[in-house]
Amino acid sequence: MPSTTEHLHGLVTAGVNDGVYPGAVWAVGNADGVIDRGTTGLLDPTRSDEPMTPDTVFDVASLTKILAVWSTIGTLWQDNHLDLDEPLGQFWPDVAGYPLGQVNAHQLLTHTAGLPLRAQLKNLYGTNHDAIRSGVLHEALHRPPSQAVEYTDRAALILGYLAEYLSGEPLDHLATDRVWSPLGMRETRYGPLPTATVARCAPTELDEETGTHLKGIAHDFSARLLGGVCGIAGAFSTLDDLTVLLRYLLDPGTAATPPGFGPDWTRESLNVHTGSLEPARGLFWHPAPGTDPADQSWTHYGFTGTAMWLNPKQDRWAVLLTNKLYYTRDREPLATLRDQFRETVFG
Amino acid sequence: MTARVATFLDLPAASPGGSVELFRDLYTGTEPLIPARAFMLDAVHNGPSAVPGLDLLAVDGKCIDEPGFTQYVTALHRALADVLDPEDVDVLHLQHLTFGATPALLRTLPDHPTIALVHGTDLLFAETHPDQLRVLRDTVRRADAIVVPTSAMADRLRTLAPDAARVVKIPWGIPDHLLAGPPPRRSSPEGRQRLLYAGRLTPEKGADRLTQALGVATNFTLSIAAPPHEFRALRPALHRAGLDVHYLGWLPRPELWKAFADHDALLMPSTTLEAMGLVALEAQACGLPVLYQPVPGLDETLGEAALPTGFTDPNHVAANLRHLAVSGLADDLRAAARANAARFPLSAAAASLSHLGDSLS
Repeated sequence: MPSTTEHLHGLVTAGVNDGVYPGAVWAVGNADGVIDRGTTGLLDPTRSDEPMTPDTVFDVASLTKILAVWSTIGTLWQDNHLDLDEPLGQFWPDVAGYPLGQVNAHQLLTHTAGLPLRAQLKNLYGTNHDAIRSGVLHEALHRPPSQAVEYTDRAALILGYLAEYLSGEPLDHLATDRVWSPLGMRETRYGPLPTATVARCAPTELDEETGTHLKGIAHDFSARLLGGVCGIAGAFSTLDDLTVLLRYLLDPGTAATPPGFGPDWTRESLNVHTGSLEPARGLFWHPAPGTDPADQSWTHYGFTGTAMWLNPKQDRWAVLLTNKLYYTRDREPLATLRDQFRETVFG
Repeated sequence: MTARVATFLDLPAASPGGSVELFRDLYTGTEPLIPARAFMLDAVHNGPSAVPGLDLLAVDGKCIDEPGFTQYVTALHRALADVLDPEDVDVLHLQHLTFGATPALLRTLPDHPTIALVHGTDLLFAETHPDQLRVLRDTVRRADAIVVPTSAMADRLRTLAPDAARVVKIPWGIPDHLLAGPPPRRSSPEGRQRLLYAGRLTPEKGADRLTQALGVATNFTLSIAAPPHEFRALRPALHRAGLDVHYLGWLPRPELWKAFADHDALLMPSTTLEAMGLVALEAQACGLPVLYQPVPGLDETLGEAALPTGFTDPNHVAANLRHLAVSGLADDLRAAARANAARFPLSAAAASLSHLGDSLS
């Protein structure tokens, strides 16, 4: 697709020239591999000798919800350790008798659980990890479940806690052992990153406390508060690792060693589960903005400027990793560019 | 004993601009130059401030004109009244005299001595907004002392508030540690002149001029350090002008200082009064020659230590850049720049402000 390829290169480079992000790494492919990919711009605009490269490590922010939580919950579901429709209170003592006890995992995965909209962990529960966990699991609901689709970080945080309870393992260990290692995602891990890796990590937002841009430390405040590991955010990854995952989702035969979840979980997740409620969502994945769910263009974004798309109908995936947060929290410039990127790849 | 200060800047904590940097330099940090209860706005209700010594007030509905301004001032006043004990404060430092924080602070502590610090933005807004001119005049009437950084600011203030009395000139300053240890200069590997624009891209800063001003110059690269939304707004004009621009983002000070050391000239095409031109002084401290439009304030601060340039004349800009590139002018300007910047240590500004406060309280 020569014209498409040319257009993608130009589009992503325009994002650098227009000040949307300092740099980006992207790829488009199918189950067989990469069709095209590119890099543009710099890790840090003030360091002209540090270009973005294919192995640049990104703080993927909410892609963590897919990489760590969706994948491990799928593993537990596949192993018949979790019934998505069973109220949590019936098998999870930590939430039995609390409002969260009436919620089920399906509602958490579709963001219809009625959870409070903001995390606000430190303000509400302090800094002790146990107190935060207890506070989150015992919190009141913002509305009855299944009434509205409201994206919340808390859903992923709770599912992360649930995965840890059911597996008896910390979330980072669980994700590494059951998903990332089997698939060969060697660069995917929770932060803080080891010193040797920090140099090729794309910096994100200015940290007021240190006066420097965060680099190798999760931008997400909740993740940092929780020591780097939680279901909300905190994972770092690379283009190649995300490629491996997306290829596996299109074709399980591409994995050298299968991870804990299989095609059943992928199929289950890439379907609209929110009925007549808007916006439509699958299980953590959601139809790309501006597309008809029937188009099967599924996506997830990360606040730091990351995104991945998956379209089983077209046998195509795409990844666009940027560090737009270096410049700004404004959503609009990158949102527009993401839509153009997605339209170019998937039509 | 040094007077205890309360001060309030009516802007979200992370806002860009020289006034915000000066405010933080003077009043915040673990060992502030002027110990103070320093307040800014918490625009997104993020909770406690990440900046030591800075308190955030979660007040919504910021506005600068009526209707709404009085209500906004009342909300600020209530927030201040909840956290300020009059017994703990000796003197008020009023900032941005035309905006909501100043009347709110005056209403909260009406009997305390006040020093009014005039910034550039106050006067520019007062010239065009009747409500803000009224607030400026009220503030000037009530202040026990009015501090301006340059004579140009005093002159402009008096045109807007003719009855301004007790005007004291205290030049602002740049951090002493920058003067003592600027980042090392790095020469260009490309041989092209590396030009830098650093600051907001607003009309008064001459952003619109920038695109035309470089129309004749050759063999240069232009870097811009500016707020992202302002850069994106200017980007089409830069593109139309055929300028190849490297965008640096809105840099934190230490990174901006490094950028100064990585460039060959700073461009300041301002179109109107500059209160002081702190960004130019910081650039000069880093040994960066400055080309500036000789507007009031800037000519006073920079004088012969920088290169006055008519940014409305692309030929003049090109001639000055050529002169800078091929003659010994760059070395002379670097030496003059460092000497000029050394005249304005922030510690001196803080000491003068503290002394003034002691004399009032």
